Amino acid sequence: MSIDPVYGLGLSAFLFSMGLLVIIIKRNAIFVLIGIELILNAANLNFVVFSSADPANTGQLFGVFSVVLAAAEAAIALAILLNIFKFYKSTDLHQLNRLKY
Amino acid sequence: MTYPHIIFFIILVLPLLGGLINFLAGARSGPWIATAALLLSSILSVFLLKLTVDLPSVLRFTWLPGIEIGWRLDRISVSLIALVSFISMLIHLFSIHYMKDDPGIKRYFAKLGFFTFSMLGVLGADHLLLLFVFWELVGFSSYLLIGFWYKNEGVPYAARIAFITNRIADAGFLIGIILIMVNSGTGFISELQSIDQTGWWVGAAGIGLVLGAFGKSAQVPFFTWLPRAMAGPTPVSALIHAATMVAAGVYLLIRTSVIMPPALVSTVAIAGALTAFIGAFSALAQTDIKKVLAYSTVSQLGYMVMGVGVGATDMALFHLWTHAFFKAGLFLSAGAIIHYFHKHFHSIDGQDMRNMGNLKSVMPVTQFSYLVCMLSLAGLPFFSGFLSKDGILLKSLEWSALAGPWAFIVPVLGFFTVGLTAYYMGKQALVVFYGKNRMETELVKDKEDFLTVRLPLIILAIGSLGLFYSFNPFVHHFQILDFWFGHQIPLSFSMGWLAPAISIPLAVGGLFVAFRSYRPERSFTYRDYVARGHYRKWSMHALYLDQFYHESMVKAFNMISEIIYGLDRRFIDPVLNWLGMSFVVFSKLMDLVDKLIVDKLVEFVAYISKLGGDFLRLFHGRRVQLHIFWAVLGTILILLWINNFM
Amino acid sequence: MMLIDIVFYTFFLLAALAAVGILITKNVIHAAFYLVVCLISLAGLYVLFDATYLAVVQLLVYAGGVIVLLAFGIMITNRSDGQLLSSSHLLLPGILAFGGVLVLFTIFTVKFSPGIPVNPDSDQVQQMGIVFMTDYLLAFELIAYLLLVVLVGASYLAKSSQS
Repeated sequence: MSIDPVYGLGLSAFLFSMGLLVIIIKRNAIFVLIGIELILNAANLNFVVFSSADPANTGQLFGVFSVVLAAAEAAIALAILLNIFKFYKSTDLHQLNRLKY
Repeated sequence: MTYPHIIFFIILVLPLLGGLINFLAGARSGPWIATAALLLSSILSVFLLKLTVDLPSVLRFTWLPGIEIGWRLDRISVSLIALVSFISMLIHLFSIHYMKDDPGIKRYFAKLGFFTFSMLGVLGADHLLLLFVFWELVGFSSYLLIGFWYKNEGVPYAARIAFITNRIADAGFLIGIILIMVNSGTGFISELQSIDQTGWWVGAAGIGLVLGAFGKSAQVPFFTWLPRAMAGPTPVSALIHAATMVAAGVYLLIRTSVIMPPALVSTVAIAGALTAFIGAFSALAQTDIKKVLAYSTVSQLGYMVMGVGVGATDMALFHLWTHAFFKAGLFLSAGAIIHYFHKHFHSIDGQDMRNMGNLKSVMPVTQFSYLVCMLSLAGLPFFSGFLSKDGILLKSLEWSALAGPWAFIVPVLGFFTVGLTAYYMGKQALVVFYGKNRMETELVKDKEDFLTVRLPLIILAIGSLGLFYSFNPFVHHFQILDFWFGHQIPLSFSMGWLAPAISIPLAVGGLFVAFRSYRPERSFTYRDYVARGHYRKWSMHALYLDQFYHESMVKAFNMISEIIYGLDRRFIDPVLNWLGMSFVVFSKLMDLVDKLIVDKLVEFVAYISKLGGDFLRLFHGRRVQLHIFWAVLGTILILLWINNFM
Repeated sequence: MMLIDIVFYTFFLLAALAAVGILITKNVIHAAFYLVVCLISLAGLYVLFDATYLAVVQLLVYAGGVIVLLAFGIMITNRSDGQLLSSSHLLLPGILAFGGVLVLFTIFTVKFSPGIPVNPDSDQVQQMGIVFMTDYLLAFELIAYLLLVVLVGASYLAKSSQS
């Protein structure tokens, strides 16, 4: 392939910034989770872009680990979110100001 | 430390220890423990006398760098140590009975032990500074004991007078000590003889020492404290103000007379004779049984000082010794009488002789002891007082013959005093023990306790017999005491029999006059005793010396105080006021500075802190997501920073 | 312009626009579907960057598993009480962070770009399988354990909350 990696890296940076923006400005916890997924994917894209120049493909390897970790994170985060919602009847992060009831 | 010194220190500490243990023990057993300690002390001191009589024992040690002090035990000091501990033992014994019902009995015996300790220290000290320390302790314990009944009216005043008078005299003593130590380089009494005795300071130091001795021994300018000191318990008067403490001055004179210029010694002789006469004269019209004895003590101390002055130091020492016995006996007899009155006739003044009479019927042993001691004091042959007093008188005659016609005042006053002494003592004996009972109530039979009353009295009476000291009643020579003192060279006076030939008729005459006026069958009333007529008034008030001091010194002191007060008001107060005002103004200024500058500064610092806090608080809002923002910002900055280096 | 370039730019734009859509939408369901679009576009980009294995994993795990999880989460929690939770109190800080990170990463991108690769390897899947079972065996085992623990933990958390 002959695509300039700069485009991939630029998209990665854009996605990362977008995810960050979502995390910071959204009040809904689900949105925040989605933002985190975006960030993880941006990182993955970065791995892949660098991996394309690497004969050993180490970046892709770590991309796999990263995807698995992201899945695990999503599962646990959603389970916790479920509990929080049961307790507060809301997913508004601004109301989550108590760690212990 | 040599063997005699170990014994000496045991003797020294035993009274103190006895007093202390007595204080800790019960009121019943404590006094006996203290007495037992004194008994042990006196036995040991006789032993010590045997050890050191021929071989003076010196112990020196460094007290401070460069200052060496020491103890010295020789014939004079150890014989007096034996005397003090023995008399003190007898008086402890008597006090057990006398103070039986007093609530402060424990305190009393502790103080008595403390006094005995201090007195023994005075006698054993060889260095002037060490002696001075114990000298002051003696004065202090005397003050404590005079003021023993401090709740009674006038007692604290009397104690203060005694203390302050002694302090004034001791100031002279201290100056003398300093002069000697600075100019001669030594403070050892045993070395005084060998120091260079030229220079103005010898006379000044001598005067200082004489002042100290006169204060302690109640000589002419200072003697008024002694009659006042009779406010203390009677056994205390017997021990301190008759037998031992007042003799300390005489002891000091005996020790230090070697460095005194001849003119000063002559003055001492004249002062002693004057004291002897004034004391005897003042005793004539006293009505208080203890006051008579007090003035008689003053008079006898005058004899001793006179003896030192005329060069008869051995005789002065001997008189000190015999006087201790008979005067202690007299005081204890008086104490027995006072105690008897206190016990049976509480409402009657038990010290006023005008209430007494016919006491021989109820107190036979007291009467016997009193008679022996009284005759000894009066100076009749076969009694101890005769031996010692005539020794002094004889020597004074010899001295005055050598010194010149003016010096005859000394023996003349001395002999005159003999007659007066015999008169007032005879009068006292007749009034107290014979004649009719002068009270409205009948006398009560009361047997004296043997161990605590009769035994001390009998021992003191025996000690007042001339036989005890010399087999020949007319020779002034220690014969039995040779055993202790070693062989004495008999005093050989050119005047020979002159002194006894004058003094015996005088004494007998005095007694005869007393008998004429106060014979038992003659009845007399209170009025015979009231001080009327000039001579009686002067005698009663001891030549008005006390009043004179009050009028002159106290008034002068008050006047000076007034002047100083005026000066204070006039000059110092305005300065102080001005100072105070300026301080106030200064404080106001400081207050203003504080409020306007310092406070504002503090507030400014607080404001800055608050601003910083508020600013930092912005980063820690309650929004979780804000934290993320700051974290990201920080990370960006760090990365930028790293990038700049790469 | 070759066909492959057209495909690349298509995926590129799709991913970027989907991300923007996540940001601007107020509906969580919409956001989830924008995410799906974004993930699938990324999978396409992976293929174009010679990461075929990771592209498959991306499709299976993300577009399949994670999105289903999200959808369930949204359905359970997003109660329709008439209020959509997506207000933007922290708009300014968010935009600041966004701009900062974007600028920074752009700088880094230009600086650290690896350049156009020369000789891509064709037999990636076999090669990666060997590497997983040899060089990175420990990490591989650990991730397996982690998945197991997450499985148990997630089901425990979800279950205990119901009691």
